[in-house]
Amino acid sequence: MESTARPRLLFVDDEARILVSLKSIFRTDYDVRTANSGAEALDILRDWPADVLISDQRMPEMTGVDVLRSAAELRPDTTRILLTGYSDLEAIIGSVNDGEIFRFVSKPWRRNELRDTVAAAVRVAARAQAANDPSTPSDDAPVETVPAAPSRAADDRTGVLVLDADAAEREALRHVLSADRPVYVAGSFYEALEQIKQHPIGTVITESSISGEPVTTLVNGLHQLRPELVYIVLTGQPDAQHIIDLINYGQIYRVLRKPINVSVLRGAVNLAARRHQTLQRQPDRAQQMTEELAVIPPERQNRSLFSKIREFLHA
Amino acid sequence: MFLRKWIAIVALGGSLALLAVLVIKSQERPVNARQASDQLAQLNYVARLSEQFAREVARARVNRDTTFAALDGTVALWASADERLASPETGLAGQPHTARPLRRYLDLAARRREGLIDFKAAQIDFVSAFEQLRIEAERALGGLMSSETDLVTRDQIIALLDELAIYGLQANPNNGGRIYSLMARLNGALPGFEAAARAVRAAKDALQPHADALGDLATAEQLGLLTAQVREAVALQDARIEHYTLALAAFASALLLVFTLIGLRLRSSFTELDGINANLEQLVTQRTDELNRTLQELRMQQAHLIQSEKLSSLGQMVAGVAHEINTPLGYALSNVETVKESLAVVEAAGGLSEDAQERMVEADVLLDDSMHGMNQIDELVKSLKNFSRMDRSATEVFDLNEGLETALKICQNQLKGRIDVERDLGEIPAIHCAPSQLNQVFLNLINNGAQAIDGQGLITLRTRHVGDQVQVQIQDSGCGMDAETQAHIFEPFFTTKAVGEGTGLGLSIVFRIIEDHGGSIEVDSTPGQGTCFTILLPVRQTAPVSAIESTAATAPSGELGTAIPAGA
Repeated sequence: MESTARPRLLFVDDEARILVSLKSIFRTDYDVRTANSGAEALDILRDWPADVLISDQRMPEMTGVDVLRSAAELRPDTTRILLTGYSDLEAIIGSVNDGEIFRFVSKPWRRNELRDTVAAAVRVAARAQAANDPSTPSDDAPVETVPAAPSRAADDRTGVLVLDADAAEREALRHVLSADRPVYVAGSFYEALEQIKQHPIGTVITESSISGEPVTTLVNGLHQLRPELVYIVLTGQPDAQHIIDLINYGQIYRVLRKPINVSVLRGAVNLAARRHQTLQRQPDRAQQMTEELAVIPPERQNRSLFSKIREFLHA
Repeated sequence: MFLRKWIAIVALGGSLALLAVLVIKSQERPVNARQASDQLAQLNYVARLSEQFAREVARARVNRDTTFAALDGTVALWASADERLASPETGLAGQPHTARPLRRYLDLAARRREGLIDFKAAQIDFVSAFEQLRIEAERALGGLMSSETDLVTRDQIIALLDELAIYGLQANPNNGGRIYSLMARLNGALPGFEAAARAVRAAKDALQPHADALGDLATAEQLGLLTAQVREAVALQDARIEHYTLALAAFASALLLVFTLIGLRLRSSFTELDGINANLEQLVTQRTDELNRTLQELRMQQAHLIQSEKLSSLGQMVAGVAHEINTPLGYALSNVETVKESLAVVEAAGGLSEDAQERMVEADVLLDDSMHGMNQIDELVKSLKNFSRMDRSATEVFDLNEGLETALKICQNQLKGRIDVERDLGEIPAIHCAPSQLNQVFLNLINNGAQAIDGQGLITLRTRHVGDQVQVQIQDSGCGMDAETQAHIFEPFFTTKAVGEGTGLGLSIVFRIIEDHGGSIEVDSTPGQGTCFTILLPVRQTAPVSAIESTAATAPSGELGTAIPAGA
């Protein structure tokens, strides 16, 4: 923000009044451009590398998730935010898996909250650009649309943690994944913490809830402990609010619905492993992302788990 | 079945026919017995007449009767008796075993009676000859003197008279010789007397065969034979009747046995039938109960379906409405905030007239109010979303106090200004449940409470942690309800509201939802004072939750590969 060029924001919404309103909030501090449709937004993005892209979901012709996906291919370093009045479950899951969004914001937004969110997004974008500028850009493509063949490099031996209360399912997942990399399993939060402490783990595959308790707090807390961990969430009965929480508080990498397709799972795990490698190489960026996580409101925190995680953190 | 029916009919007909035959046969006796005794009496009578006839003949001879009055009377009686005996109504002539002896007897009897004419003539001859002899004897005796010779002659005459008298009555072998020797001694001295004596003897000799013929006992023999025949026939018939009687008795016994068996069989059949009937009734009751249960279940399911449909369409509506409201709300709220900020900047710049300053302050207040209003709209939309639980997992750990607040917010319109809400919400643990369903329960109960209150009133919401259960009470100060209504309120389609005002599903759905959660609901109501619903829910109810999670999470190792890709 202190740089000579102001951060660039691109807003996409089919309702012009929304765009006017948003522009009125941000125009003083940011270089703001707006688009009435997805296609228009992508046109702008081609010539104009925005730092943050903020899109509505329900739009004619091109949905928000479509815009975000194309934007991620076009400008991987642009941070993506979904700002929507209502999204169905498919859209939310799509925004994670395809849009890899930074944040999910509901309309009506709170002006100050949105300001904070956009500021955080700008910081993340800045880190990403900084990390990618000197090195080879292809190394950290956040989105690989085709599951790449697992690279058998020596450094690709970081393990996978499977966190699932159901022992049979745990074993099934271990069976499927153990061919590619070491698999560690845990049936509870505490077992998961133990495993993460003892083994080199890059990816965490977890049920969305363990014994009825959402994993949001755990993921949020683990970010502080291991910023470079990547999370894949499995869910049988997806809960829209729950997934939105996991995006905002946990910055999860993928959401997979049960029943799970093995090749999709493997592809997701491979991508997650590469993501993990990238984050390991760019610890600043990982740290930045952790810092920019939304803060769980105190009344929704699981304090005992939180303190347990803190214990691990300081141990 | 047809064959069996016919066999039964034939058997019944046959046994009845046999019974009739036996009864008729064994009942022949009175008719035949009377006839037989009649026959025997007649035979006896005839026998007596024939004996009397013989006696009359003998008497006529001894008395040297020539009028034959008694004999003629007996003959007439006998003849008419014979005639009756031969008549068809007596029955002897018509029966094979008696016809021949009867004919023979009748012939003989008729011949005996015919012989009477010759006997009579011979008797008359004999009597007149004897009269002549008496006269001659008197004459001869009158001519005698009291000389010795005459005395001998006189003795001889008297002896001869005696001998002739005996001869006339009953000739014996000596009579004839003595008569001849006495006559020889007279030696023709008394020729008249002698001729008369000879005439007597000759008349007697002529009479004897006729008398013998009349005394013939062949008729008695024939009568005896007839009597024996009749007796034998009666005995024979008796024997036959006895046979039939015996057979009848045997048959009756057999029938009795059969009836007894049939009776026993019938009794056991009735017993069996009674059992079957009782069983059937029980079965019917059971089936009826089952049907009732099924009906109740179907109604419950229907209610449930209607409810899920309602919830689902509510969810869809909320989804659409939320987007449509949130978009304008988004910029409106944001703009108000921006304007407020701008106003502050303008105010800070200063140089405003007093009026402008005042307006600035007023605008600030108005904008605050607008923000407040829009925040309320936002809250309402959020409550609707929370309530419908669109895109929320069916079960989760949920704070019921939160559910009560959401429900209150939704039906605020009904309560506002009219009904006070008292919250007595205790420290309760979050429970495993289906929040959307429990929200529905709370909304229904609060709505019902509000509807029960006419005018001003109070609704009290109470939550408590009781053991391993959470208790929720929703109490209203409304009109209450009687026991009859209380007994039915949880049944589907039961409603006290007017047609069109209520579906009668609300409380049945409440009941169903609480039951599905392994909980219980009770109603306590006093007419005129209000109603209190008490819900108890287990804090941890593993069954439904794990069921839902496990059905969604069935992905054993082998099936992972065949699973459908999702969320991509």
